[in-house]
Amino acid sequence: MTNQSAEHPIIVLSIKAYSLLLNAYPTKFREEFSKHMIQAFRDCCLQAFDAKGFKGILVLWVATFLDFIQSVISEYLQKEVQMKTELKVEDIRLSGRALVFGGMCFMLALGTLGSMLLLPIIFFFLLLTSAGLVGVSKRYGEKVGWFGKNTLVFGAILGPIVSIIGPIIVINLVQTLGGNAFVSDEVENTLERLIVMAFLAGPVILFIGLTLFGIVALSIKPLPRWNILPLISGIGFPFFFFGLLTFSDLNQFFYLICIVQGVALTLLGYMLENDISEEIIAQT
Amino acid sequence: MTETSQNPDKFLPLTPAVFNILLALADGEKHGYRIMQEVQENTKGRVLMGPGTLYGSIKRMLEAELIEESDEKPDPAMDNQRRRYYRITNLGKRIFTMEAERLEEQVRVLRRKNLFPKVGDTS
Repeated sequence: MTNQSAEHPIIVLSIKAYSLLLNAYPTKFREEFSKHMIQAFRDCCLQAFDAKGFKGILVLWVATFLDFIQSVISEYLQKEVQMKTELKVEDIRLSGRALVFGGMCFMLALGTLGSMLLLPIIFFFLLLTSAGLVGVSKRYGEKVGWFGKNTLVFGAILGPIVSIIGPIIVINLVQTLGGNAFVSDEVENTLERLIVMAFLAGPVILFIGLTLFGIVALSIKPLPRWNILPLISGIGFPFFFFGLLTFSDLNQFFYLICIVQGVALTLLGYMLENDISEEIIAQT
Repeated sequence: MTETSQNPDKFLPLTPAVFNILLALADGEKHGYRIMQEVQENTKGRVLMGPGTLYGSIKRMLEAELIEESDEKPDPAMDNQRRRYYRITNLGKRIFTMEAERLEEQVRVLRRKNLFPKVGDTS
């Protein structure tokens, strides 16, 4: 491993991106091990880059990302087992409130399509809705079973991560493959579109997780009422996202379905905020 | 909890990650990246351990007192960065030996049933 490699932009950027990812781990785990995890990842980057250059870094990222997803879920499940008897009413209420604001952010985002405000609003939507969906999984996860619970958690965690990492990967790939590619307007527009699509892939993943949870919820009925809410909250946007990849014109159905989704998300959050059963209060 | 008060049987069978970390530490203390490298070499790349899996396993192994922290010091073969080293405990050695014996017994059963692949047999 060379010291020169350590200063290569792709290595520096990879370490920064990995450091950001570590924020997804539980606090205690992060405080104890993040410094050493970053160190180990840095060593892996140097080895991969010295052996196979940019291709080595890409392969490393694929493996690291899969490792990250699996280990984050594992750490939270471990934490959940420990906290099972310490269920906090206030945490669930806060999750519900976050989901309410997440739904509102989503509807607000519709009004800012095409403007510079869209991306920050979507970012806040992702953070709030992820926090809300983690609360949904905590409150109702045991009733829906392994598949329903984990697809929800998976979507809630992976969604924001993809929105952060996706655009970085797109920018890096384009810079590496075609140094002067920004010269023409057409290429620049295509790059902008790719970056936006990479960013919006995060909400799509989050909604897919929610949709799968919703399908299970329809049959098992874990919610006290309106068990169709999770499915309605999740199912619309992904279809339009994949439609946006091939068609450039939005239509009125897009707005209508997204508003319905936003309202359903808000209602789901409201229900979570207020659905604190006596058994949970008695545990605190 | 002292090492002697723990029942070793409750740890068995070990997960591949834990077994391979103990195997890597069996011949001396190592830091995280060295453990990852050695696991990859020992398993011929079949077990790939990223930092998340490695330190998640290390956390649980520390709690179970299978390993303990050693010094923080630089690796002479690498750069000047100080790295946290880990070493196997006596309990860890006992558990590892028991697991190795369990796996050895399984290989004996395979040989007895003539199911163990011969050297050079690629079918």
